[in-house]
Amino acid sequence: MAETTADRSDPRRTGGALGRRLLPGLLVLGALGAIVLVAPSSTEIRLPEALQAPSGAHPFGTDALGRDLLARVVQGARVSLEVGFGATLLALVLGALLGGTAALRAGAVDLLLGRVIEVLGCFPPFVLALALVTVAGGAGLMPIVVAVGLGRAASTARFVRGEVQRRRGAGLWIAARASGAGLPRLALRHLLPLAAGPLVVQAAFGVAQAILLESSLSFLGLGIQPPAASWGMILAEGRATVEVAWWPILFPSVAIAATLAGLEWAGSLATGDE
Amino acid sequence: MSGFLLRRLLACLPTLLGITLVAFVILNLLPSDPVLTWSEAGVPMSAESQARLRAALGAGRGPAERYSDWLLSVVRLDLGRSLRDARPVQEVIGEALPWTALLNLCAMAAIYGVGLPLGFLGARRPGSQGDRWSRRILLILFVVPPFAAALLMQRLFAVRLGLLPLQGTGLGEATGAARLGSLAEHLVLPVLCLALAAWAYTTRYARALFRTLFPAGSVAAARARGLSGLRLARHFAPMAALPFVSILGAVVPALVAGSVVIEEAFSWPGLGRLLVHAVEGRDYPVVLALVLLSACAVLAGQLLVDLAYPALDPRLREQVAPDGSHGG
Repeated sequence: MAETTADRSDPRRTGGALGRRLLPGLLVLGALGAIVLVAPSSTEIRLPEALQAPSGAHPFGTDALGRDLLARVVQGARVSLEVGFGATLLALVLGALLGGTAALRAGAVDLLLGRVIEVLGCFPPFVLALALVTVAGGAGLMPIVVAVGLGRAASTARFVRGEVQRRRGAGLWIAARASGAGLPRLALRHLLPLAAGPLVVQAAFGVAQAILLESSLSFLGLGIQPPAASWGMILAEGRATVEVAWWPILFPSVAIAATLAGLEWAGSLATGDE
Repeated sequence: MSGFLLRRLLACLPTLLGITLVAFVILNLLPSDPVLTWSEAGVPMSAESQARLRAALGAGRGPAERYSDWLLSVVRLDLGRSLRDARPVQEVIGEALPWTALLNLCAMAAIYGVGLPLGFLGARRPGSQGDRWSRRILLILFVVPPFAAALLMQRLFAVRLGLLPLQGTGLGEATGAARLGSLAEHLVLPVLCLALAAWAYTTRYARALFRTLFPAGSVAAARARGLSGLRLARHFAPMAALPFVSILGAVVPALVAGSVVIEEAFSWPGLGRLLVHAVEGRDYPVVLALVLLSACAVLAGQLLVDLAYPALDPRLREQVAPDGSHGG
C-alpha cells in the first residue's frame, strides 16, 4: 500500500508503473488470442453428431445441434470481449464526463450532477440493462453494448468524481491553477495522467462486470440473438440438455470464470492488493 | 438522533423522485409501440381495440402530462394493470414477492452465517493456513457467475447424485407437513447459488474491518481487564455489528440482480422471474414497477446502512450532530 501512495504522489513514476500494471492484463489477452487462433472455426450444424462427449475431433464435445463446442466457445469469446470492452469504454466516457464535470465545476453543478449520479447508482446495473433491452429490442451487439455501458456508467462516474475530488486540493493542482491553467488544460494535463492508473484498474474490474452482465442477459435469452454465440447463450442452450450432458455447461462456465479471474487478478495486482 | 433521522429521510425524497423520473424516461420516451409489437407477434386485434389500447396506454398526450399522471397514481400505490392479463400490477407483484423474500432472506442468512465468521477467523490469524485456503477457494467461487454455478450444481446434485430436486418450489407434489420439507429441499440449491459469489466479498470485507476494529491485542487487553465469556462478547458485539450492517449496501443490489437469474434458472416463481417474463412480453407496467421497486430496495439498503452507523458507533453520532451531513 505504501508503494502505491508513493507512485501516486510522484507523477514522473506513473508512466513506468502504468506499464508494469498493464503487463499481466496484456499477458492474459495474449493467451486468449492464441487460443482463438488455433481453435477450429466451423460451427456448422451436423445433427448426426449431436451431443458427442469430448474427444480428439471435438475437444469440448458437441452441442445438441452437433456444433463443435470449442469453436462455439471461441466464437462466444469474441462477443463477450467486444461487449465487455465496448461497454466499459462507453461507461468510462460517460462516467468521466459526468463525474469529472461534477467534481471540477463544484458548487451547484456538483450538487446537481452528484444527485444524478446518486439516482442512477440506485438502479442495479443488471436491472437497468434489462429495462433498456426491453425498450431497445432489436438484434445485434449495439443495444447490448449500450445497455450494459449505461448500466455501468453510474459507478464509474462515482469513482471518477471521488478520484478528482481527492486530487483537486493537491499542491500540484493549486500550482497549475496559479500559473493560469484553465479547466480543460488542468483536466487533460494535470489530472488525466495522475488518474490514468486507477482508471485502468477500475476499467479492468469494469470489463469483468460488463462480461458478467452480457452473459447473464444472453443466458436469459435477452442478449445476443442466434446465430451469434455468447457464453451465456451457449449455457442457456446447455440448460435444455442438463440431464444428459455435462460438457455443454462445463466449458462455457470455465471460459467465463477464467476470463473474470484473469481480469480480477490483473486489477488486484495493479492496486497492490495481494 | 431523531433530527438526523428526519433529515436523512427527507434527503431521500429528491432521490426517490429522480428514480421515478429515470424509470419513466427509460420506458416511455424511447420509440417503441407495444401495440405494434403485439399485432406483429400475431395477437389478433381490431383497429378499434388497437386505438382503445393506445388511448389506455396514454399515447397522444405529452410526456410531462403522462409523467405527472403516472407519478400521482404511483403515490396512490396504483401501478396500473399488467398488459398480459389485465390484473392490477400490485396484485401480480404481491403474488411473487413472498417467494423472492423467502429466497433472499435465506440467502442473506447463508451469506452472513458463513461470510462473517470466516472473516473473523481470518482476521484473528491473518496469513494462517486456514485463512489462506479460505481466501483462495472463495476467490474461485467469486469468478463463477451465479447462472453457471446454478447449471453446474443442478447437473452435479440433482442429475448425477440425485440428492436434491432440479427446480421448482416443490409445493405442488407434497401435502401436509411434507410440504415444508420439500420446500426446504428446493431452497438449498438456489440459496447456495446466490450466496456463493457474495461469500467472497463479505468475507474479505469482514476480515479487513475486523482487523481495523480489533487491532492485535485488543481482545487480550479486554481479557486482562477481567472480561470473559458473555461479557467479553457484549464488549465487542456493537463493533462487530458494523460490518454486518455496512455489507448490506453491497449485498442488497447483488441479491436483487442475482435473484433475477437464479429464479429463472430454478423456475422459482418470484419477482426476478416475473421481470424476465415481463421483459420478454414487453409488459411495460410490470417492468416499470419492478425497476422502481429494485431501485427503492437499493435505496432502502443504503438508508439502513447510513442510519445504523451512528446508532452503533457513538463517535459518528457526535460528528453527525452539528451539520447533519455525513456519508456523502
